[in-house]
Amino acid sequence: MSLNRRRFLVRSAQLGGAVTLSNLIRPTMVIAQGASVNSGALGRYFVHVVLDGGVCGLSLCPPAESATFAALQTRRSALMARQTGTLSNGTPIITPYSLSDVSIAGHSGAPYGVHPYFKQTEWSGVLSLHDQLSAGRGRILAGVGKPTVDGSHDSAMKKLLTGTDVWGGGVAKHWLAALIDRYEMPVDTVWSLGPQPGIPLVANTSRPITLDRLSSYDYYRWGSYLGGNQTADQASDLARALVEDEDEQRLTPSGQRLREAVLHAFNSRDSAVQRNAATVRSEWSGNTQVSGLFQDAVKIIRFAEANGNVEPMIIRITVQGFDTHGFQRGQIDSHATYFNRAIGLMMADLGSIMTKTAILMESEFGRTIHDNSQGSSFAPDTRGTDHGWANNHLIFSGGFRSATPLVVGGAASVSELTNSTILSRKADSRLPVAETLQWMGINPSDAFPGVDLGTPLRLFV
Amino acid sequence: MLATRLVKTCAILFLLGAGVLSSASSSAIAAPRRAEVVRRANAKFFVPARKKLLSRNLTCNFSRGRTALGYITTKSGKKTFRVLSSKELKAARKKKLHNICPSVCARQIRAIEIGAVENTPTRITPAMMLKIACNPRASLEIVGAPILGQAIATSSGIDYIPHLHVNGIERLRLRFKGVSTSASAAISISSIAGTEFVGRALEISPYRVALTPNEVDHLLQKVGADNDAQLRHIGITQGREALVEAILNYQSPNLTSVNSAANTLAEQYQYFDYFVFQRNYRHSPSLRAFWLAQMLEGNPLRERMMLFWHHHFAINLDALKFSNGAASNWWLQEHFEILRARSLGSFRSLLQAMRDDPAMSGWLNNSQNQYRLDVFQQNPAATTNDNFGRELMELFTIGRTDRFNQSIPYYNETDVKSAALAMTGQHLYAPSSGLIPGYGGWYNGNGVTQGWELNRSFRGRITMFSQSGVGVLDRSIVDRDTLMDHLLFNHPGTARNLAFKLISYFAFPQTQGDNVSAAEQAPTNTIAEILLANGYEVIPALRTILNSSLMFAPESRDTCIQSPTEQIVSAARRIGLPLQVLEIQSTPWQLESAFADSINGTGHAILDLPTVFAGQKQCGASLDSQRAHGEGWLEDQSIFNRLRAVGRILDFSMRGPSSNYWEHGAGVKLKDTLLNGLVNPSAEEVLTRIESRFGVSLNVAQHRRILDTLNPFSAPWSGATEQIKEQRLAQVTLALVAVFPQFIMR
Repeated sequence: MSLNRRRFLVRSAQLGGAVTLSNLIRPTMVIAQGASVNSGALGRYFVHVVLDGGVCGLSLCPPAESATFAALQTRRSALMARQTGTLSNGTPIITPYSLSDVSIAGHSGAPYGVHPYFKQTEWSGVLSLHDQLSAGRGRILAGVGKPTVDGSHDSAMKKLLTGTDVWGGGVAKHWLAALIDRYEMPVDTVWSLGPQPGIPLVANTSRPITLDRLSSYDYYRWGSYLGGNQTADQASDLARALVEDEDEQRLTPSGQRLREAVLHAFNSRDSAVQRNAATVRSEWSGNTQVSGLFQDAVKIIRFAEANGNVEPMIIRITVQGFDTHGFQRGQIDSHATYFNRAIGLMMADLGSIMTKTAILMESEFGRTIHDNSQGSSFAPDTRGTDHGWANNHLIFSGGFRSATPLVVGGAASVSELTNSTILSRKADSRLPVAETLQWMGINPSDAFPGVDLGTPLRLFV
Repeated sequence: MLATRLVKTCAILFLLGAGVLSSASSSAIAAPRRAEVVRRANAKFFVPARKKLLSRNLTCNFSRGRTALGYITTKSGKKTFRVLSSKELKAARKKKLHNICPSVCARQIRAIEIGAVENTPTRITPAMMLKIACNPRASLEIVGAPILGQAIATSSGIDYIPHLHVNGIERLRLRFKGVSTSASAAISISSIAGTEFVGRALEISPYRVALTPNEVDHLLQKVGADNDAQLRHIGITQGREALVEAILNYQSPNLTSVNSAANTLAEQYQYFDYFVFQRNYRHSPSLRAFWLAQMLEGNPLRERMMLFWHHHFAINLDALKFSNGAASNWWLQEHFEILRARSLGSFRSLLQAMRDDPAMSGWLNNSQNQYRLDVFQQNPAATTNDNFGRELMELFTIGRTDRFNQSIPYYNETDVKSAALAMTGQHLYAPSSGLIPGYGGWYNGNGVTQGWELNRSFRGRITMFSQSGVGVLDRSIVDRDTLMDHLLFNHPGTARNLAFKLISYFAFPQTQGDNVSAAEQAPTNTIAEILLANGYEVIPALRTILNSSLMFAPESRDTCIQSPTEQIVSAARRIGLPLQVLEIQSTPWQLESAFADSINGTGHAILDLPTVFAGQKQCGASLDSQRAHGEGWLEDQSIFNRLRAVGRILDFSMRGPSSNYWEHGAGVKLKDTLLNGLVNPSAEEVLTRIESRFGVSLNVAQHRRILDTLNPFSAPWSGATEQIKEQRLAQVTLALVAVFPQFIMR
């Protein structure tokens, strides 16, 4: 039975009332069974950030309880938590950070770590990522991952994007594409920001999807998405009209896709120009890829909110630059700085809308300390090599259960971190996605049909 | 009643109009006038007084000054037309008759009616247009633009090629160069639809020899040789085999190495600090500018294959620079030269060179992949950096799975570790300072090379692929060379993967998945066998693909979404923009070109591809069938940046010289490139030319929109200034080449 959009909204509204979820979700996904869903389920926002490559998540969030910190420093001397001493080749190690630099109180009374650069407070009224976590607005999802067949980008993407092991061939859908088809989601409620290597958002859905990568940088620099080129500005209306007038029958299937994409770009520009009227904090001006994308997400949400949006909205952001296999420290420092700023600004600009918003950050791969041990940009035996399965992910929202601990999932033991090449998976990476969807009033079984997601994390109220 | 009267009135007006036209037409074929007779020896020939001579009908041919034709009046008064004797010729020359011969010939022009077949060239020679075969070497030119086809002026006449599927009569207005009188050629065109692109999608065997012009254009576009007049002529006149050989053996007169380019440009810009130039020239923007220039005027197939390999071995200078500093400038140039030198050579050689390439080593961390016996004995899996070993298999050779059996991976994590182990031992050296210990640092020397440290290289027993059972390797002595050759020659994956990608890129994306029939796999298998039989030389494989029936199958037409770089180069070639438009600009710190800079914004910054996975966007590369046609390029901002990039090039082209670096345009006008040969064309003629030049077919609505742009009611084309015309021309050109699907697809 197809569930059209009207029925979907009605169902969501019912969910917002007092209907239990048990009839909608699989047994293992029953979260808050017997309880009602928050009546504000309509009009919630899900920002799903995917970092392409194997972010060294364990560097960003090392389980740095005091008892283990020294051990981790030893094994990860090249990364952010290094211990004073020398490497095996005699290279001296200068320890830049101590436990106090990285710890967050609140993990069962013991400190839990984040990257030191996540502690930087840069602007008034903008909390650092560390402070967001300390204030209970974020959670660390430990040991979350996806078993890949071979550790390849390809199989990781399969799992990450489709939620299944199947890829292409007309069989599997991206979970987002499945929802779009299932609920006939309007085009302006599904967004994909950022470069899209290997991401088949267009796969197997007949509905248009907002593949938006309009450059805020260009817009703010030139006041135009055409980079201030006068000839292009003059020609753009004619170009659009010619494409609109093109007979689809004359084009090959891929040509038809191209036509749709071009028209989509023009339509996106129209709506983007509208939403660009929304004011954001001036600190966004230090534009990086990350801040540009996050800023766009803020504008989309604020524009929708200002126009009385009641639809569930999903914004997917992909960020590149994490497929690193060496020289980890400097790169992670840089990424941590950008994310600290961007997440802080995003949450500051969304303000009270954060109660209706969830921001989930996950990566393609994870890393174990074992494989990254001895990693150093100055050491000949630097490695930083693996495409591990599990990782620590971050999620931010104003809608968490207050009882949810800072670290959810299953933290790896020091022994496992230091002796295993691949971190065992404590929780399925689809689980936080599913719980967020459910919080938005969307049946997660429609996103991940037939998948046993395991024990719930119970993140949201 | 009123309507009937109106119809009658129109009919009368029409007949009157036809009469006028008819009259005009016949007057163009002027009757010979009586000539003045000049007596000389025993013969009389017409030699008019000089002022009157222009209107006389004396016909002659001073071919190299030895032969002349003329009307001779004998003593008996009989007038004949024959070759003049030397005396008669001398007399004619004395009267300077040769100066007016073309005019006289032009007076003999007549209207002709000939037949033509769609999409097949029909030649109109000067002799056909003359009542008397005088001066047959005179050249014809076209007045106005053809409507139903395209006309190309050649040294021997006009080649008129009716468009595909056209029935009708084309009326060409022709004249001899330098002569004002013109006459018409009525060409009756008949359509024989369905006779081109009749190749079969599953057949790798050769296609028919004779090619239609559309088929020639199709092949040229596939290999990046759009609008190459010489190749086009070969294709149309000599057929498929000759064309493919000409493509494979293209002789490029252009710069062939970066160093020679650097020297030439350094001389050109004398104020430039040569040494700074030498160093900075290796920056990716400068290399990109050099490469784009080569794509425009160099060997098309070499550049196209270089692009193919660049996506196969995707690399990013920014990331390289982050970890290796200034040394990466040299590394990138070396990388670039490897691609350039081997793009049409052996894949085996290219793969080995890539393995040894410092840039690739830095990019995929193989310089950090070291074997240490003590650590290895303690934990065999704990010594290596897997990155290169993994991508060696996933992207460079066998692929994660077979293209036709995607459910079973070729390798697992253990195999990745083993591959990395075999690739251990690579170090980067600076000739002046010796070993760089696994790290380039902010190296500022004169080049870096690489080497292999035996005591850091693994050489011993390796067992791989036992889990999949495909291409199992189990040898007591394995090192980097033996593993690489095993992947190339003993594992079926590499040849099949490469064959699949080549056919998919040049012809059309092949079907992949778990349920592909044997017939659909056949082309890939055939090309794989050719690669293996020829030691991975790519020319034999390319020769087979380009000659194949599937290359000319309907499935091969307009199926790939061109990357921004391919599209913009194609646009520049078809517009006819000369190399000056891409002129590499020099500043004391960097070389750059507007063209190269424009392409940066399209999301396709060649030599700075964002990830090692970025090559999957290329048509035919992705494992995902839904994105196999290049759908990865379809991002909103990227689409706008295509508009912006071509817009900048046109701006840069049109603006003309200026002292400002960025304002320094080539001063090339579209009216001189796109409309060359047209004299004061009407808006309709401009549109017809654009349509044929870009190979697009506009419907009525699109036709109307463009005409409204060129010839708006409020400011007609005919009254517009040259500058306004150029601006309108740029708008229409940009709209058609930047985002128009018919143009972008190949």
